[in-house]
Amino acid sequence: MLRVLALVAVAALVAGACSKKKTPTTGASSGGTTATKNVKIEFFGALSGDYKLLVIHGFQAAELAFEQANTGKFGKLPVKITIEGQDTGGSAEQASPLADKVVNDSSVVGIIGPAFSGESAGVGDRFDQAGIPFITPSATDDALATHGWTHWFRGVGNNSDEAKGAVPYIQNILAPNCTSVASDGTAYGHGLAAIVFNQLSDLSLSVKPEEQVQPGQKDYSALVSKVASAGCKVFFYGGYSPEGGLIRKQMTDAGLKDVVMVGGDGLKDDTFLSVSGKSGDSTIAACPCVSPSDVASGGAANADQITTFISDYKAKFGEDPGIYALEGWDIAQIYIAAFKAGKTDRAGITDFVRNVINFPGLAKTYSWEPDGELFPADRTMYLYQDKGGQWTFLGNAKDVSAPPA
Amino acid sequence: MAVSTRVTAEGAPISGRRNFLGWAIFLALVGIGLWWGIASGHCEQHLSGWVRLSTTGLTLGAIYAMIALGYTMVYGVLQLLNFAHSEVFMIGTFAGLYTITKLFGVTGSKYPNGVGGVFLVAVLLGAILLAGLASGITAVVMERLAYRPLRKGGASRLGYLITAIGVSLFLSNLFLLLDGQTHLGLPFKWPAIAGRAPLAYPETMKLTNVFRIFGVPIQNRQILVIAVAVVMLLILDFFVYRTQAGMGIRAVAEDPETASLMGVNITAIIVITFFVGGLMAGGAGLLYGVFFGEAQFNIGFLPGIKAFTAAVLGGIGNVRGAMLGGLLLGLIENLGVACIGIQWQPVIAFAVLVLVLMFRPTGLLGEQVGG
Repeated sequence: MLRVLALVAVAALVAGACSKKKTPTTGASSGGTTATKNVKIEFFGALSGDYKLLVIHGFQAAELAFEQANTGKFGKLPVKITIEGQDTGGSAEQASPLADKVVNDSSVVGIIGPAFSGESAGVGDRFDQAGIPFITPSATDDALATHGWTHWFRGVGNNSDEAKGAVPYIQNILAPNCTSVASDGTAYGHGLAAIVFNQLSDLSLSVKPEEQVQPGQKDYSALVSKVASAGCKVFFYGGYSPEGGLIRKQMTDAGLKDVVMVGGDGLKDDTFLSVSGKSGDSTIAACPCVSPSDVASGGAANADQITTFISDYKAKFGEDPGIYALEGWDIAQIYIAAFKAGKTDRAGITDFVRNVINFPGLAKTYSWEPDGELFPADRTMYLYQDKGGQWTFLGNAKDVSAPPA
Repeated sequence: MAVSTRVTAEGAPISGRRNFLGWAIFLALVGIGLWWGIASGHCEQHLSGWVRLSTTGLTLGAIYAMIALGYTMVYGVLQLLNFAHSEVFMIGTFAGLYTITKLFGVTGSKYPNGVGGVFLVAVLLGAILLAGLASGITAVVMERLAYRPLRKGGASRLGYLITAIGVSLFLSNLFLLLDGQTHLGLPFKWPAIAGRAPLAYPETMKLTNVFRIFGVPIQNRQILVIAVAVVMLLILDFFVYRTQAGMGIRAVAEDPETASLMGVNITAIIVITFFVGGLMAGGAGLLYGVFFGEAQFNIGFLPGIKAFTAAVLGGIGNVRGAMLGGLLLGLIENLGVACIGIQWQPVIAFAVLVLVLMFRPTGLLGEQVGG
């Protein structure tokens, strides 16, 4: 009996480590007889677990894009594209063996991701040395641009941009007596909290030293006690939604309902809404992400395309496209454009991506600096607020946070 | 009955005077540190801050104490550090959740303001009972399948320890996989019980402030946790020190061979010990779930480690020591962060543990069950 138990335990561990979503996009190319090359695009990110809702929409949008591309919707392609989801759980440890496997697979010509900053820092060197282009739809730690990677591109603004979105709102609109700051200690969370702390200090606003919690914890009572003692009316949290939602809930439970929580893109998903429940109301998230329905209804020039995307997405996945869906779609489209231009190997595609200028995506246009950051003009920051259990679009951070006249 | 003389690791009695001097120096050092910290502005300046940290510390400490009992009792009778006890606790959080939502039908949408009155009492009692039972049965099955074969085969203590770690990993990974998807290449879907993402507890009891101490609100949920924990600890204390089965547990802990010669059924005592330890962990799991609002496959890890620490702090194998250790650990780790960042919370807890063990290697109350 013991042996059976032991065997099952080992098997369970192995299965846990190897979990992977493979989605060969179906739909034969319309050409049929011409010899098409099979290429793979890998998506790296947390496709299950606590952080899933921050990542899954980008993956699904890319899946949709490649599926449509294979049917010839975007013109004839010299390749048949397969997208594979590599479920990293959001951690560098889990991403590491997956990365090793991917770099050795010569049919892999591009990567979307890694979705988070910590895992990007953990495996980026390997992708860069293998010469695979890797475009992240959502990793925002500033330090990622300092690794000297020549195959890395960031499809959104970075933490400094997020801070520039959040800090003026704190300064001009919330105008608190002081701000408490905490993070989850990750590359993303601590990076963002530290920048916000510095920017608030530079403005000579009163700000408390950063406290750090452990990700995955349930008990934040010590942090709540400290926030209560500090007495600040604003609490900035650098981190992700599962922890952020619990902290918000425990703060409200402890009588800190009036303290406004402000965070970055890591908070802006449905996990935050469900975990914090009613307590989440009034929380502000600064996000480089674009909400598809808000952009479409806001009268964007490409509103028709976005509306088509939303209905296709809903038809395929039975849900609305969430955070980073448009970015995932856009990055997939950049790869598709490279294939259309006849680039079907790692070097050619990297070269193509590096040289795109004002690539028209659904979320924004894309042009990259030599270090892999977007041009500043492409890094718009938006503010969202949890109102009645929904993330409500407040608008472009610059407009929303303008000092009252 | 167990002897309650305090002894050092070598077995020599500690002289009362040296003992007293040691404590006096320790407390004086802590006092000076605190005075300097408050005077220089490094520590919490408001009394309300200290009160707030103390109340959360006591609430958590009560939960640690309940979990710590399982570690300490099993160690007492088997000299086994049952690291899978944290998973026994985890199963309690799930059993409590499903009792509340499925058996009593309490969901957030149906009762947005929680339930009250007699129904609330019924829900909580039912949930504590079933969570305790689920965990107790888990612990007993664990003993039967994993530890008894080792005992019969005369395995080394290292064998026990590795088995315990294996059982712990097995259970947490099993709950990770029970997410309603197909796994391990099997053609059917696994039952959707847990999975990677946390499951939320409904707000069973509407949160209200019952009274205030120095302006710090004390909530009904905190009172619930502490009250239930104290009642369960008292019942357990009565069970261990005042009943025949309890006497059996203490007898086996002290000298299994003599106990068995006196007609004590060791196997039965071990099963009872696992069951009672599991019962307490299940009750703690329910309280933890109600207090923090979540159940998850890895929820037992941190409270488990801390409860183990609490058991060692109080004197592993010592039931009252585990209770004291739990409360103290909860207080220390919360009060400790009054002076430094909360990222140091685990460091403080373990530094205190190391310090205590340096001066009192057998823990605060010594190692014997019934000490």
